[in-house]
Amino acid sequence: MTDALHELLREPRIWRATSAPVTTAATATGFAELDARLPGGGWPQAALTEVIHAQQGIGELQLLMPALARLSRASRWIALIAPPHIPYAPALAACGIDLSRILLVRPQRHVDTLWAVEQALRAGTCAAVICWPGQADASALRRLQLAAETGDCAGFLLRSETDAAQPSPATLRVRLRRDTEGVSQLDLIKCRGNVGPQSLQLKLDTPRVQALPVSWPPHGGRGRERMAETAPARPAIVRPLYPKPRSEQARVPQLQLPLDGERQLDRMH
Amino acid sequence: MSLLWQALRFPELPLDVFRRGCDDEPLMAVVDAQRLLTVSRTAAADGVSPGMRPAQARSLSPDLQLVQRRPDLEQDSLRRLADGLLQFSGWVSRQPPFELVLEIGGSQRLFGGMAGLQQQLNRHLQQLGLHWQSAVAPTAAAACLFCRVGGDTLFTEREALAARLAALPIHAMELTPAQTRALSGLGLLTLGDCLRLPAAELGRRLGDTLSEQLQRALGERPDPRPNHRPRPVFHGELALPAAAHDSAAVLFALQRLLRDLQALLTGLQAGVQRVRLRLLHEDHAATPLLLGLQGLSRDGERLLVVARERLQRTPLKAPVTGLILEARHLLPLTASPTDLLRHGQTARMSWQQLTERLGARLGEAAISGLGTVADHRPERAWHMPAPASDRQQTASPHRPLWLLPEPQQLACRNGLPEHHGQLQLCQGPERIESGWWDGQDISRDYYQARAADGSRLWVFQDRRQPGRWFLHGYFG
Repeated sequence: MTDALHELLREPRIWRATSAPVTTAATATGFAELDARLPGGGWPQAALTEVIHAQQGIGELQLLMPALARLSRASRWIALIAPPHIPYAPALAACGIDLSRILLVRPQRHVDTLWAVEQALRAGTCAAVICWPGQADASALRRLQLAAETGDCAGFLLRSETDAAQPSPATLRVRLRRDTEGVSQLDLIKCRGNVGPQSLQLKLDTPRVQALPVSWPPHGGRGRERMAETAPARPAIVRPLYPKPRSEQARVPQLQLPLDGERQLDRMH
Repeated sequence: MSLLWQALRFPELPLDVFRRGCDDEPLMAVVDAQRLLTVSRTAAADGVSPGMRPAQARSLSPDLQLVQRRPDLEQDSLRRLADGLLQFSGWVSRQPPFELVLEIGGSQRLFGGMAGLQQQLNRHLQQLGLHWQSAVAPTAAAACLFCRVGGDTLFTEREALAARLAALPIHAMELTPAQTRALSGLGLLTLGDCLRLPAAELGRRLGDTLSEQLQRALGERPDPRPNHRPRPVFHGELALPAAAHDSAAVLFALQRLLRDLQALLTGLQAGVQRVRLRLLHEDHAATPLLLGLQGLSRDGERLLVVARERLQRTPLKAPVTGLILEARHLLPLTASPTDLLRHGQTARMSWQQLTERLGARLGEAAISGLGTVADHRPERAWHMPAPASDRQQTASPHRPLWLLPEPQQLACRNGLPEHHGQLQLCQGPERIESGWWDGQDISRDYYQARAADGSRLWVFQDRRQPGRWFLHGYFG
């Protein structure tokens, strides 16, 4: 009986919450309430993190932005592999990300995606790899997990609910949901070193990071010149266009411009 | 500082030019003028020995592969070898057919002393897949003499020269058959016997060349050696003993050629960005492959990684019988600075290596960086430059993290857009009206909207087509 139990526990698919090391290197998420629940105080470094989200546009990128902003300003790279839409550069810059450290990879085929993710994780060049792998079986994910450990790279897999139904070897699995009121809820489905599922509410809509000054030249400059040039910090001035949300009545544009002049211009063209 | 010479002799070069392209020892012999010149280890085990007639050798070993000697390939190899040895010494001299001498007195300190230099030199020659004999002596001629009798001699003291040379047999010298007969007739069997005789007498009887050879070996006569000058292009050719059917065998042979290239580049302090590889086939036209790197490099491993990805994707159309590697533009490349404080991270790939590897399989168009453009039109405010090239970054708040490649038209009800249910407009409008100068002008009112499923959308109403709503991005 006990032998059978031991046999079962040796099975690599079985993960025991108590056996995992609690002290792991981590990158702060930028959300204090989330950091407090995660072992190591942030997204695990050198491991795989799965972010499961039911719909698009519910804050799945916003959740990662503070950590990515910090990582992009360290010496390593951030790879975005097979994103479903265009990662919009001005918005990323507004989140504080140094765009010159972004590597965008758009493979044509699904097998190439998994291959590219593994290469990027393993290379050690990237501090973080964010990918949209779609369907991936457990053995493929285990390879990615090992690659992330080898390359000391934080791997983020963004997946939909259907893709993420099977068990996964990822170190951390979170599910992001948002209700109609706009309140985001994050469930910790699996979290090594932390017992039992937990969930917390996050405010993802309010921007946490305003644009940080971008050092000039970003990375190519030599020691002294670079110091001299970056010393007077030049923060990009970011002013909210609309200080407060408009009331419910003001849904339609209020401002009517005289359009005749424009039309004449059009005709002239 | 005294000069110190190392002689390298490649007695099996006629065979090595065929053998170095494959991993294991082939059953092979090189034929020159109807006699076997060099035989491989496996052939020798069958009883085949140099000097035999081909028919006799075949009767001993029926599977023996006989190849005609290729002096052109040998000299080409020797020249490339000399190119590569320039990384160990600034003074390399070729002595066809099989010998090279290089001055190492000046460079041994750079390699951590004689032991360090010998170790690195041996590793270099081993990686090239060659068989060699080596000797180090204070004069070039003496080094060649010691090398010819089997090598493995290493001494640096000039005083010991005469005593050491005295022990060598006379066949170490370059002698004509008549000279050999005359010397043995006189009972002179070692160089010591010759040295004991008066030089003038020896010269009169046996010709001046003999005594000159001895005087050069002793350092009593000047011995100028021409310095090898590398050609500023690389052309390497490798014949495969057996046609390669899979990419693994091709890659092994390519590795040898890349080592040649790497050695030349190290010697020249140069780098390459693109090399041209041609795979030769028996009865097909050659397959050309262009291997490119992100930047100048002299690291053969990086080119090999690119070649591996390319070969795995494009199957061989026919068995490969030979390879030609060419690099036309060798550009100066100084050594890259190493970081003092980050010793632990040396195992990491550089980003160039990573993009090269990804680009080799996915195509170079699939890899890019991300940057902003100073344009008010959302679809033109970003671009995909080469990685690490974008320096201008314009941050725009209130923009979505996801942009759709094309705005997607939304259904409307009561003048308000719908996307999985009625949308609720939260912020806006932000009017963007721009682009009249290039005919791609837009006039739109953008809003942030919330869908019933909780996602935040970026929608706009086209002012040119009132009442039509479009989805342009997700706030992600």
